[in-house]
Amino acid sequence: MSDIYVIDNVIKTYMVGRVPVEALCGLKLNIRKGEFAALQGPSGSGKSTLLNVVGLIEKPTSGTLTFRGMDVTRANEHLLTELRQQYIGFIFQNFNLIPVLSALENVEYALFLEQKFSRKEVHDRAREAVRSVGLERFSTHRPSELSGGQRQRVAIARALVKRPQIIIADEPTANLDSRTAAQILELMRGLKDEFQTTILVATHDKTIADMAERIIRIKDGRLDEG
Amino acid sequence: MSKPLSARLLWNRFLFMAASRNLLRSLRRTLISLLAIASAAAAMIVFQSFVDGVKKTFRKNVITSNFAHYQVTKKGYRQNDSDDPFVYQIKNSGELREKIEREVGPLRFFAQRQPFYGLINFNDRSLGGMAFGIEAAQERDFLTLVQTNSGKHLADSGDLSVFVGYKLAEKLKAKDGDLLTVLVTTQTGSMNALDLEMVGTFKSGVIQLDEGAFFIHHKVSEQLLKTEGAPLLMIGFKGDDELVHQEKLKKLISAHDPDMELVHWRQLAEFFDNTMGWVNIQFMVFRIIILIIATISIITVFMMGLMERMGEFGTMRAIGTHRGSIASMIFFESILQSTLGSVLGVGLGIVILKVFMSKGLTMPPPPLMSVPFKVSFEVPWSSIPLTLAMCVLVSGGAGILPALRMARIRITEALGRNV
Repeated sequence: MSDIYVIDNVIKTYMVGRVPVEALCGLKLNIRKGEFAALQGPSGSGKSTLLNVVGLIEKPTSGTLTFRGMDVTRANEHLLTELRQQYIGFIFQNFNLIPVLSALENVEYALFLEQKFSRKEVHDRAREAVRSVGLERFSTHRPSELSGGQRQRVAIARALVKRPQIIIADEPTANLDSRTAAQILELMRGLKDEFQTTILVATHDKTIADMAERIIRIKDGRLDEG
Repeated sequence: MSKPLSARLLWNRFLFMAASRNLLRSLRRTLISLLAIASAAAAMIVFQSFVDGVKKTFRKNVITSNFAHYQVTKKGYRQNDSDDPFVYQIKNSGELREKIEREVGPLRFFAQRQPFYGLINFNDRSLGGMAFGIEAAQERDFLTLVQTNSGKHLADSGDLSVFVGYKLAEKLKAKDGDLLTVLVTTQTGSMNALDLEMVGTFKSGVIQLDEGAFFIHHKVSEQLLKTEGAPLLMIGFKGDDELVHQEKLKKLISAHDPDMELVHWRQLAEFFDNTMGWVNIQFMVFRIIILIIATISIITVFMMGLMERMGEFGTMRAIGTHRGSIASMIFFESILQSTLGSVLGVGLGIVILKVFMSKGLTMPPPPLMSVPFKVSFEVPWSSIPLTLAMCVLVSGGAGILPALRMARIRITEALGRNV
């Protein structure tokens, strides 16, 4: 299996007031295509920063980040947005749906955004994605009319509808009960099996960690290999 | 990589749909913004109507006070560049009137006027005055701002009577029915005087006339001054579109007598343009202030709404929405809101004009005038497109700054707002 990410000696520094704080300290990590990796570590260890860097939301301060064989360390904002749009699916802890759009429209959003499909293609693919997460009956409902589990399923449908090469999930089950969390995990595993999608999940949830093929532990901005 | 136009259109349509729904999201906030825009548009419509009303009434008053639409004189008359003031007399004016009516169009008013200076005396008081020999039957009908204050206007026939400015009559302490003596220098240079009965006093609305002018019959002025004809021919057309006749009239007069010239009332009443210029500047300042206030209100309210949605913009950016699309969506919202607000405002302005201002407004006298005048309010239909465009552009433009600001947010910071 080839690497979808090569993270080489990446440092990410934030300014807190006037004080520089290193969130990632020379991190070295490869993530293979199609693997299901769980990212674990205590609060403040740099998990979210790592997710932001591999999600191409934040640029490393130094080091090299290679995505799909392309050095994106110094890529401009436009290119990073395009890459996120085409190859990366995000699942957030708080679902982050757009409140004025229905469940189906939230999913359609990801396809309209790519600006390469016809209206029918968008509609058919979004409907199929909504069906695949078991929410066909709720497709016209707005997020405020859905339960937490249903919202997270919509978020998953939004992430998977464009068939991304990687799904980055930040505590996707943190706000869900255990039964709904299990259903969400099943969905994600199904996605990985069906499309060979790489999944990187930051989680404290033991169930997810047990399900993952690889656990990446991070502490103080470094890999915890202890 | 360029994307197909049809897909780009679909995406923009989708953004527009989301933008329109966002307007209904916080109804109270949207209503506040709409109210700010609508108030600005309505205020501009009402004030435009007021300015138009002032202009229309003031114009009418100036024309009907003393100027008519046009005046015809011999060249040099206004510059008074001859030692002999009677060298500019125009004789046989009836012939010219016939020509004008035949070749230019029907006239509502055509009269000779003989302005001259004279002494007017009553008992032991003598005052210098500006006198006019007029064709009373015609002038009464057209120069309607000259209102009878006491007694009556000059009769149709050329009797020995005088119609005096009410302030001048007060200074002379003369009453209707008194015999006043008018003393003048004739065309031949001799002195001549006539006793004339004061049949009434007038208020012209023009301070200068009320304080120092009197009217006598043109025929009597010919007798008094020993002249024939008059140096001034006054012309009034039916309706207010006298300018459409100007070129034709000018040519006709020049052909009739190359020594004659045509003067439009605005060339004579410079104060009209000065006053209207002043009113227009006031309106422009008012418009700017209104638009600035509306813009600040809109930006403030709009920005508050956008700050609350920051987390959402973070999500949109994270999942691959370009900055331009975020800015476009916010700009769509702004334009939609401003268009709706402006249309509502124009409607509101029309309702205010039709319902609350239909009786008009009595205004104090403008400069050089002595009578209050009533401004009637009409819907300024021709100004509505400009008002709409200004309101839409300015209030829509107020969304540019917030749109750009939201498009440049730091994604991680914005995502942190999602709770």
